Amino acid sequence: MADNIIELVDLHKSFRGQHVLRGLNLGIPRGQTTVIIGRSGGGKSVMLKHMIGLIKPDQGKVLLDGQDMTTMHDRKLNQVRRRFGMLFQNAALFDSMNVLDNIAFPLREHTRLSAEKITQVVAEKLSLVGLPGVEDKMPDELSGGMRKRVGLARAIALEPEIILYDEPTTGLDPLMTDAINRLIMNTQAKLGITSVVISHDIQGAMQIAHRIAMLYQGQIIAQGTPEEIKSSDDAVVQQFIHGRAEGPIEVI
Amino acid sequence: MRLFEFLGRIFLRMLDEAGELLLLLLQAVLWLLRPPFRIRVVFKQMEFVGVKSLNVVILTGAFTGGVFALQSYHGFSLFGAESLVGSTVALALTRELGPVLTSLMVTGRAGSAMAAELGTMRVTEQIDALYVMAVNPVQYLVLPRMLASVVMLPVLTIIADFVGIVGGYLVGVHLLGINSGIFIAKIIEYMEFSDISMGLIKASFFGLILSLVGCYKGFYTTGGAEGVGRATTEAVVLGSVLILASDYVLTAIMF
Repeated sequence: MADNIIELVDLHKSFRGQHVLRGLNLGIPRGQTTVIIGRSGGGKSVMLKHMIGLIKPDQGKVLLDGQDMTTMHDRKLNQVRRRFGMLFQNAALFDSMNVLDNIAFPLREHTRLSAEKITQVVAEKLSLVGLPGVEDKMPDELSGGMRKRVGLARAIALEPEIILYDEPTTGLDPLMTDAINRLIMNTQAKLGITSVVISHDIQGAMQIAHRIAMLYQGQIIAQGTPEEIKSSDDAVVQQFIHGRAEGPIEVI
Repeated sequence: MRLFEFLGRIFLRMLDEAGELLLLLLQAVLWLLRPPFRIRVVFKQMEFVGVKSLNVVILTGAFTGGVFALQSYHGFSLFGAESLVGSTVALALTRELGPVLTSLMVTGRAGSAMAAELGTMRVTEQIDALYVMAVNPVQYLVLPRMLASVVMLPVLTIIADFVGIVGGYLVGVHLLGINSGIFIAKIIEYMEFSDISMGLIKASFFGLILSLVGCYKGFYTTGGAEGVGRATTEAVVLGSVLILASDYVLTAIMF
């Protein structure tokens, strides 16, 4: 058994009678990048939100270092959450605050750093994501790609052990997609972080992933290294990674 | 049978909503006792709810006082009691119109804004982002708005009371020719401190209602931009109705 930092055990979740997760099992190996692929609306985001306790499962367990997050009290859960950073689909920057305050937010909440030190850390994180000097901009002045990078800077501000990426490259142009993918790889390599990435971008997934898992009909139907996934003989996986409308997955 | 089913469903929905409102209130009250205390966020909200509502509250107060003097003058002049216009205006304002109209105006201005802001934060995952960064959104977003409203509504009300009486005075004395000394003397004669203080207690309670409803509607918004619009409307409607209904209950208890 590999060293898994997060372990999802037999997760079930329904919304308004719709059974989204149907007994999902998945281990996230420590210090590596795991990419989850699967169809839009197939429950990938729901699964990711289970990992950080934003959604509680109807049934099943979410183990973080062997501790069940689903039964934790608020206070304990908040402690645990400091080990995570999360990049939301549309970055979820606080639009009432400028970039500096957004990235400084977790620092001000959870550390006792001085104001100068915080400004310094923010500048450092911004240059890490390739956006030095945008501290004074408001989120609505930024492009989609820039917002995502600021969101990433905020997610890594507290130097988390685990980063969750919810569709980091969706809706970006190919160059920005590549830039974000590189950023994910660099962040992972430099900081030795465990990353979980949700993506539709198969090419990017093959590039950044140590492991790939495919979510289909509420379960993980295949997982392995990019090579193993590529050479998988599962018809569903083959159809998905080659982006074909014909096959066992009903598209329309 | 259909009718009962329909009414039953509405009743259940109302019970549901009342329960959720009370739970949110309970959470906020529990967070009141736990650090960190966000004094700066509270002050910012006090500025938003209080200072920025000043114009609309002053205008409302002045015109209400003026029109009340005008109307009561016409009534009282039928039996020669014009001298009572001042005290009537003052009592009506301090006991009822000041707190109620102020709260309704602030509901429209700030309660709706709370629903829209929190609703937008909900649908753009900013509230989730707060949870992820281990900051409780009830404590960070809801509690400061409630505190600010509970503190600022009485302040706004006392301003509305004063401006309203001045408006009544201008209309009564300068337009309708009531003797200025009598106008003021009757106010002093008939008005008691409890008229003002009870009005302010009501205002404080209305502040709680409008902020709780505004935050509740925003906090549980679903369904994108349309949902935010719906939450905003519902916040104003439900807030206003609850203010008017609780006004009756509070008045019956207090006076």
